[in-house]
Amino acid sequence: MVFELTWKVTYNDGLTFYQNRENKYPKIDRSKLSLFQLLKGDKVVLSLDLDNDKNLFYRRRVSKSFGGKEEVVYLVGWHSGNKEKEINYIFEDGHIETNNEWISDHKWFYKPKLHSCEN
Amino acid sequence: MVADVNIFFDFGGTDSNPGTEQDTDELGPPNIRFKQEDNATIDTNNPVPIPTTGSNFSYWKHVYLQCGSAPDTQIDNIKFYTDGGGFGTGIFLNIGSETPTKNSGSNSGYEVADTASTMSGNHTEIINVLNAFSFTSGSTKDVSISEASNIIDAIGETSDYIIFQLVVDNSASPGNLADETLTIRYDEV
Repeated sequence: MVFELTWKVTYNDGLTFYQNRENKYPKIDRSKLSLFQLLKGDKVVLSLDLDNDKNLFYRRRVSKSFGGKEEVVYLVGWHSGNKEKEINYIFEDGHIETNNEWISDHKWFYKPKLHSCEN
Repeated sequence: MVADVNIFFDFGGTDSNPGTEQDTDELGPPNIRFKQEDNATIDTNNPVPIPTTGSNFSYWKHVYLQCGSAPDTQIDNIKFYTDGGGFGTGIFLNIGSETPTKNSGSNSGYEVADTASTMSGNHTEIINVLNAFSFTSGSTKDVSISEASNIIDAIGETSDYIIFQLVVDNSASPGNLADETLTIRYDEV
């Protein structure tokens, strides 16, 4: 069974929309972004308040072994101009781990390549 | 929907024109076998003999990640690693330091395996070889992407090649080896 979460955004004017083939991650208007949520079905797994100068980042991180065994961790968080950050890791069993620094030699907790919209 | 991504290897054909793109999920287990022949058959034929001196080599294998269904936006940050184990005394799994070009428009990094010689210096694109088992989950090897913008965002797009070769020296013991786990990790958005 594939571990899949979807995201939902809420803007500061109350408008909401969900991830789909038309609503893609780079198209999120970060100037109006108020809330970023990860959902499993219709259940909220994680909710991230993004007021002020918090820059959202988000990834689905996949580890695939020869033979097809797959492990997935979602990472979602924010970083700010004063170098503060919050990173949340959502594991397949549902538990969440939070950190405020990247760990370069960890299996999951290393920094992604940030996209231009995330800087 | 999330991307569908699989691990492939190419074999046969001619330089820059592989004859077959093989999905490793369709094989085995094990899903790849190093031997002194260039095919995908999981059998006990064409083993790498133990030399009386020096080293013997398997034919090299060109491995890569291929996108079967596209991500919403892109795949990047590809890394390779192992379980850090190994095949035992006198048996080594080499990995090319370089990651030759493979993408949806080019296989220029493919050099057909037609000899059981070291890939270092015999494969045009490989200069240095490293111990594959030195790469673990916390110390990975980066795998490049030569698709447009250096990302994978469409069906059929691939990573560049990761090239492997088994090496056996005279201190090895005979017999079939226990399976080892090789892993590729990537970020998707």
